Amino acid sequence: MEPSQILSLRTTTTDPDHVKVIQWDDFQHDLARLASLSSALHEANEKKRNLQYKLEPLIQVNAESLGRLNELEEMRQKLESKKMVMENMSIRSRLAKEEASKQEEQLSGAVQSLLVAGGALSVTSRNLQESNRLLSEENGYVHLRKLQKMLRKRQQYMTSQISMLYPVKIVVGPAQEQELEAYPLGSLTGTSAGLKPINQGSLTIHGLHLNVLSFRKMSFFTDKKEIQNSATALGYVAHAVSLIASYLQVPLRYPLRLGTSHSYIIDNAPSTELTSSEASSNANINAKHVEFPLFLEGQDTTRAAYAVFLLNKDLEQLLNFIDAKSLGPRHVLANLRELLRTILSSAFIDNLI
Amino acid sequence: MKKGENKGRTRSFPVDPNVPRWVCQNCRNPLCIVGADSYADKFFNDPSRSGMQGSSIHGASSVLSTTKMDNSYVVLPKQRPLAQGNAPRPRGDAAAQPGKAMEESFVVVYKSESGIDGNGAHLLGTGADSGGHLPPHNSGFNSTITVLTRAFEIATTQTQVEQPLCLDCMRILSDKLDKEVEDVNRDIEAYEACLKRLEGEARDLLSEADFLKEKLKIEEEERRLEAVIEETERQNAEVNAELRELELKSSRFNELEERYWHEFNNFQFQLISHQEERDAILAKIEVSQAHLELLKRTNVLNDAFPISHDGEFGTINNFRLGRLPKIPVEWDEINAAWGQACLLLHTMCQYFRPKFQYRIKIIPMGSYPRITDTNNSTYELFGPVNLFWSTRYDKAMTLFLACLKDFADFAKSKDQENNIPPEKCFKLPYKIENDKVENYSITQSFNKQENWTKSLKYTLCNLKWALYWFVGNTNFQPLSAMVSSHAEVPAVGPLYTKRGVDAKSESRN
Repeated sequence: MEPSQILSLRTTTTDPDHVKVIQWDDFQHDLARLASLSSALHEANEKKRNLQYKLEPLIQVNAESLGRLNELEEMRQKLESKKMVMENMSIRSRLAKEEASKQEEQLSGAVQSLLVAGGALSVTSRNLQESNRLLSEENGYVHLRKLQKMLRKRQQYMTSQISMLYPVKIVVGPAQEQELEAYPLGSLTGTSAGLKPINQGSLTIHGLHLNVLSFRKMSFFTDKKEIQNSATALGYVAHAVSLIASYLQVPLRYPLRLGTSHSYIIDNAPSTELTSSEASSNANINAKHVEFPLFLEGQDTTRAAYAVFLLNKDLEQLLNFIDAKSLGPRHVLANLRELLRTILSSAFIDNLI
Repeated sequence: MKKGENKGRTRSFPVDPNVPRWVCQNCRNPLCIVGADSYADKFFNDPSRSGMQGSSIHGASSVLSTTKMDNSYVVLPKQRPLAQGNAPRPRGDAAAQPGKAMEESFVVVYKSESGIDGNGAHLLGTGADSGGHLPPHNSGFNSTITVLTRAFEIATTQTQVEQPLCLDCMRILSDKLDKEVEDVNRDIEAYEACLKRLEGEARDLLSEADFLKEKLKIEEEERRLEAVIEETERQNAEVNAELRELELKSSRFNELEERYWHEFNNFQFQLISHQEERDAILAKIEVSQAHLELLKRTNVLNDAFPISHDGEFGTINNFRLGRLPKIPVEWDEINAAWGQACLLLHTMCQYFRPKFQYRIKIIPMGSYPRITDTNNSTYELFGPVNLFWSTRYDKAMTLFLACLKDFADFAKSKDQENNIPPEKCFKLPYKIENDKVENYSITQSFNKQENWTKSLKYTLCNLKWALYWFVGNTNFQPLSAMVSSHAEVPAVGPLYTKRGVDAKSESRN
């Protein structure tokens, strides 16, 4: 209070010349306005207080109500949240159930199809085993074996007829004719013809000797009849070989062109030297294959000898076909005899591959 | 502008030492009020003064109405948030704040009053001193002071502000009050709106009883929901267990399926192997069967000595027999043909010995055949021979015919022995008589080549028939099998007949 008093005193004493002059009317007017405003403010404040007094209990009640509503809302939200959780769980459960049902259905279908397939596989496996058994028995190997045996019997029978047609025998001694084979009366023809054996124990085909030595030393002293006999014998051998090969269904490496006593043997793939040699000597011969004569009359002895060699190769081929071995490169009648003997033996039928 | 006018008025009036001086209670500036003498008297005596005050109050009312309009505009934005649920609380806060502001303004007023009171006492002291010094104006001065003092007190009471105040300060204060009135009016409008809303909402308020009821309902629902959740969880657990079980089953199924496919592949391999093996065996069987059929249809003698014809020529094993003017067949071929014919006929005659009397003997020698007659004379049946030296060749051919006729007669007698009907007994298709075959001579001397060739052709045909008879009646086995051969003859009779017919047709063609 003292500073205020000091300030007011200073104002009064120090500034006498700055005094404001106010007209009373103006002062009164402003004072009236101030008074009315102050009164209005007072009234407004009073009214405001009254309204406030009215509002406070309402606000209180409203606050309580809102509190309750909020609580209920919270509870409802919690409930809603739980409901959502439950719904999600329910949806998941339903989806899982659907998935389980679907999987179960698929698995059931798969199991069913697997059972059917397994059953079918079992049946077909059994059928396959049965077929295998039948293949090993009536329907297969047994049938094949029987058929092959019949075939071999037929081949054997036909070969026996060939041996009847061209009997191969051993002739012993010049004076006494003793057949070591089972074919009787074959040598009478030879005797009638006046044939004389050159060597003891030599082989004949249809009573004819095959003297290969004459193929190497041709001279004026060689007997013409002997030449004819050998040519005929070779012709007979060629015919027999041709027949046997056809019945065994063996294509001969060196085919034969039959001409009875003037037969030829063909080499379809001769060596180059022979080809050039033959081409130079015989222009008419086809270069692709060469024919070699199985007779000596009017022929080159070398080519005739080679022809006999090739005929023996054919015999060797047939022997090998029936699992027999050749007796040598220069034993034509012996090999033919071995061939006939082997085919006519019982082993030919029993020893099926 | 008011301030400017006030300043002008202040400067225009001269300072009168006789007028009492006052201090503004707000800005502490000295001030004096002039022209109040006459009004002082009127003020106390004239009732119209109070009427003027009434008109002033009326003006204040008009100002208040203006303030109300302003407040209504200002309050509207605040009412919009009321739509939200949270509005009441901010509203309460807003209501509280203006109240606090008003209280603060009141506090300010009280302090000013206390200050003014001190100053008033001081001023009164100064007035007294001034009055004592001036005896001639004492009564008028004192009256003025008294009146003004009284007026100031009344004004202080009415305005709640310590008086006197200069005009500037009073106007500033009036403006402030005007604003505060507007603010309070605005608050009043807000309060009224809030009051209306709350009174309107009173019906919707939730009572304690309703609250409890609702709460119980919610709690009950919550319990029910808990139960449902438990149920759902249980179902979920069941389904999960089921899924796990299914997964286990599925894995086991996969194992079984894999094993099945292994077995299937194995089976397929076995099936293919079996099929290949079966096909191989079937192929072998087929080949063997075909081969067997072929061999069964084949006869060795027929195969070794096929007899046919080539135009005018008869052929045996593809060797032509005979010669024509336009077709000179080589001697090698003719010799080969005769060789084959002789070997065949010899083989057949030889087979039936000794039953068959082999009178005329054939000596086959390949391309050099010979024939021996009953007188044991031998004739060559091969060439080359010339027309003038063909006597022996002609003889040989005649002997061949004789031998063939003998064999045919033997065959016929054999059929008769087997009780075959006479019309079906064997008979040559072309009659043989001495050196003629069906009236064609087989000799070459003094004979046309055409006739000779035809005769040879007929001879081969006869030989073919003889061969067919031979094949049909024998197995061409060693003679030790003759007994079985005889036994089989009746069985092959029809076959023989059929073959004969076929052979004849073929020969004729």
